[in-house]
Amino acid sequence: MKQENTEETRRSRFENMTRTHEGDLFRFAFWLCRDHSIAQDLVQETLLRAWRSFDSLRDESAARYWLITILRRENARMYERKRHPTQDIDELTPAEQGLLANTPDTDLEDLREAISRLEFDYREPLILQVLMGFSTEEIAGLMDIKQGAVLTRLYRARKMLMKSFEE
Amino acid sequence: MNCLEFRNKLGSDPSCQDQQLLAHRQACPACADFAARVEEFERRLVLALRVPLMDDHDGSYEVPQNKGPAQVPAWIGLAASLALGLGVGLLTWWSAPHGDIAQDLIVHVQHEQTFMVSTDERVPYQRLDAVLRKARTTMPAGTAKVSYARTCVFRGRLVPHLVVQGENGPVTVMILRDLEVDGPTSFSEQGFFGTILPAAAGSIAIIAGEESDIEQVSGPIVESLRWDI
Repeated sequence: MKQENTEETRRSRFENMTRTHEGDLFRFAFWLCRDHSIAQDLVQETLLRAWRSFDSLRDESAARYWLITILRRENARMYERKRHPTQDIDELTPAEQGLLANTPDTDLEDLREAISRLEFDYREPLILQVLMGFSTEEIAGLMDIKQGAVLTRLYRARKMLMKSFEE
Repeated sequence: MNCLEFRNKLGSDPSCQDQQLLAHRQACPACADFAARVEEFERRLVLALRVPLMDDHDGSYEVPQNKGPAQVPAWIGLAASLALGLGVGLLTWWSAPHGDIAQDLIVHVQHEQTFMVSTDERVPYQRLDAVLRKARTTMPAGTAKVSYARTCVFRGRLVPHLVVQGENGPVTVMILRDLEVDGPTSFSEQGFFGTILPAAAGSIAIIAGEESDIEQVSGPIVESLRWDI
């Protein structure tokens, strides 16, 4: 009985944790791969792996960073397996176009398209900072690059986007 | 801090509250204007990145309920399938001998047995269509009683995995776009009956517990499945 309660508590903790983060995990996955279905698969695989190694998460306040680490690794694995071609924005499915252009605000549509066209190396740190709220130090840790490189990429990403936004 | 340093700093981290940054902003009207533009842009950027969650999200991210194996939720099963795919994916699709395909299919189905159940539930057509389109196929609504539709990793490829309700029980259908077969191949292993049928592009694998369900389910699907959309 005690063991069952412990397992139930564990599941409950995991459930609360994932519900808090799954929306942003999906958004992060979507901006990484720009494919709705693959993003869903990525999140599912991430949660399975997170569940399996949940006991290794000592500090649940670090769950966001931990989950993103797992998701990035899964994205790399999935990319290696499938070798997704670079997706042209003009070839997005209606579902993905719906994600990018679900608003009558044309400026916002243009900005989403511009983000989608950013090179991966610039897009990822920007999403980690703006959407996920990580510090440049944390982003450097996640991406395994120097903090200076993160700052440079973030600056250039914004410069490119602002240029297209203000044109 | 000079203007260039200010703009570089703000461009890489607009939320920075560095004292030198704030002091420069107060002292330099041009940089104050620049900062205002960056802040407005940042507000738009947050809105742009917060794409809406899809309407067809079916709750499959739910975590497991502690009520026994029969009620393991969808995401665990799918993720188990994906994890299995990772293992299987160590072999590449083409390097694996086709003779092993039946065994791999059975293993995959066994890992997804949670969904091989008789049920009146049906997958929304929008969901089914989204899964099929990933394999560049489509099927008219109402072709089959589909109770489960997911993209699985199988032999290192993402393939549509459907469970269709047959007359005598559930039937698994997998669209193997990248596997060419010369002709129909039937197999019977570990209590499952299966067939792999050549298709316009690749093949379709159908696995059931009852042999009679295979033909009944495969006929309408093979006839109505459209390729190269």
